[in-house]
Amino acid sequence: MGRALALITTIIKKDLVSELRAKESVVTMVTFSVLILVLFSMAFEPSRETVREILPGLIWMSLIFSGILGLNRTYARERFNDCLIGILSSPIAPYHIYIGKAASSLVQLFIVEIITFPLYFVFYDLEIDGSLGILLLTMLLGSVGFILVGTFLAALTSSLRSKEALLPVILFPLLVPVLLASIEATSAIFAGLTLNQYLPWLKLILVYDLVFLVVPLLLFDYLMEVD
Amino acid sequence: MIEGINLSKTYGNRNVLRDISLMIPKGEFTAVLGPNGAGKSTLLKILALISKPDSGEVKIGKQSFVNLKGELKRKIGILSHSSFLYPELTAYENLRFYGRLYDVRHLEEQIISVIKKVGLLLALNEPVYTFSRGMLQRLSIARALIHSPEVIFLDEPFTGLDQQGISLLQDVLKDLKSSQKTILMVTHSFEQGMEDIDRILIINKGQIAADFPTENLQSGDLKRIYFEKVAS
Repeated sequence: MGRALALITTIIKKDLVSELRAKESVVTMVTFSVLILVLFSMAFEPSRETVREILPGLIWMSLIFSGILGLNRTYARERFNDCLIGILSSPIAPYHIYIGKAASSLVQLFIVEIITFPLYFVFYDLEIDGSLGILLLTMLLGSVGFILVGTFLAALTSSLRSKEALLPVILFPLLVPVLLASIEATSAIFAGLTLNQYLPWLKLILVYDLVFLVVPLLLFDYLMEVD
Repeated sequence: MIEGINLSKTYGNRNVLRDISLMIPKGEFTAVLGPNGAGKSTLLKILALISKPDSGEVKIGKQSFVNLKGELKRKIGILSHSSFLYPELTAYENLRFYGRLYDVRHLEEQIISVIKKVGLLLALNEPVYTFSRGMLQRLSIARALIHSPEVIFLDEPFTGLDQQGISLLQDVLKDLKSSQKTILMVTHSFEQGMEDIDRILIINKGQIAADFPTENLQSGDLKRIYFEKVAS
């Protein structure tokens, strides 16, 4: 267990240091997210009630779209100089790579969330009637689900020629449950509903997270086979 | 010792390897020659445990890779024409990364030892994207040796090297051979790195077309045998 954790940490550190130096993913993701929220604030009148209704969807969609930009880069770094073969030739299990990649992508998505989320208060005059703590928990669980399935599918498409176009096409249908549940839970928290009223959505996200933690662990060996 | 038993591999309808068996004793330096598409690199990837054969078995020492894949990989080092290095990281960070994957003991001392061996001590903290092709390949040698492997696989290691790089790689190969490492090198070249070769395998159309020791081989014999076997 200690050795597995050390290997996963090694992958995470390497990815984050590489990203810190290259500034490829996070900068693009933040810019894209900010652009979306600014453009939508110009397209709609922020004080309107309809904006309040669509805001949870807008927040999650902008996160997902910007997250996909980052996911497309996750394995591109490993394909350059055949680094993935270098890693796979070492005594590391493919699931170490999967968890390490997912964790480093999650950290990058959190950075985007930390930077962009406060901007919704500025641009949309956002007020939260429910618990901020539960909202953050919802953001965390929803982001974990998205990154787990996204990291798995990014590995699947990473060796394909049209990977940038293909990843969203195969990712979105699989994201429907977690996206729907996250939007519904976020709406309920914004509206100040009681926890019991949106607890089923949180449970759905949690189950989704568990499924997409376990399934890729079982299948990642096959994805990482080198021809 | 490396042993491949009845190895076969197919891509689509193409049989890249057809029931190949070979045994390379400990300390032997073997070169694998063959035309493009003969199956040389596929054979190397299978023997190096990074690709699975459709059928057959690989043994390193007396251990089969089926149950001991992770443990066996510790014994293997791979040097390819691709560097396996991350451009944004420094030479030191790349070596530390791979050293940690192999769980190398006394990693700091080992990094200094291998980086000195390839003459890049002064560039230790430089990012890899600033390296020339020659420096990259030298660092790649250090990466392949960071965990002191018993078996070394070389896939076209001289590709793109300048004269200084070629000379350094030849010195490293001599050094590895003298320390009884088992080496298997896939190459196109009839000259580079061939001085210390003990044995030559010629692969053609996924099969071993010739397998012979280099002792008593006269100048020009290798080219003659190669073209005879490849043409047939």
